[in-house]
Amino acid sequence: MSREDLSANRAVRSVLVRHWLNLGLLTIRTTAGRTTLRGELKRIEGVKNPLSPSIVESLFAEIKRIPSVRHVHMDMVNWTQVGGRWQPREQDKRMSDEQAFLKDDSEKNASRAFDFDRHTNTEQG
Amino acid sequence: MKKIFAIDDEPPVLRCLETVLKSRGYTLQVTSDPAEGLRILKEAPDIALLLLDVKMPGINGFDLYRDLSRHRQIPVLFVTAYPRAFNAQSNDVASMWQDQFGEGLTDIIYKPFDLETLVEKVEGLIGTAQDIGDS
Repeated sequence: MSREDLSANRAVRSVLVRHWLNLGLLTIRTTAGRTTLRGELKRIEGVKNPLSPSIVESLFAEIKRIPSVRHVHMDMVNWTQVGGRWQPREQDKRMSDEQAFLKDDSEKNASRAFDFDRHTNTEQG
Repeated sequence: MKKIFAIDDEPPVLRCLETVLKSRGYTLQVTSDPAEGLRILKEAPDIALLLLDVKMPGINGFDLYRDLSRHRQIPVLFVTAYPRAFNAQSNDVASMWQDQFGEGLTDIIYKPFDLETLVEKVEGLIGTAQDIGDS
């Protein structure tokens, strides 16, 4: 990974932070100027305005404007591009940001099932 | 070799981080004592990345992060089971988010995490262990 790619990752994180996006739900990888963003686009808890298509468009445009980024691929579980426009997937339309964090709570509880000694993620019934 | 320093009050988490990241070629130093961790951080210029728990006895991860930020700027990966700790309604969190996180040198991973995601987050912050040059 080149210094330019690391610098691109850093700039992408800055954009995400500016939009109050939950970094813990995303992974960012830049290889030879090609940036891939994977995961879930959600704001951190306590942000009043939910994400809108125009905010996601703006986010995407800001990332594309980063000088060391030549190409951006966003692979989101809760947003999709239809006809060149970003829109929430069906499930996310029904789920407000607040409800999404209730889901995070159940994930927190699931952390107890993680066996760090054996490095295996055990299923909780 | 790139050196990673991890502070977490749970030794099993530290063992996991150590095993996984050493296998990827990084050098690891760990402590479960946040106060000792802060002292080491201020004295060790060769640390490329800090892995930091949020909820710990004594000093919490956010306080340690703010204290550290006054002395030096290094990439930090928060490793936490509490997504709700990052709450914009808290003035402290909001100012930390805008001021320090805005630099782009900080990332978050939630427990339980996938080990590949851990490696991806680390590489996204400082590159692979084999990459030449500083981060």
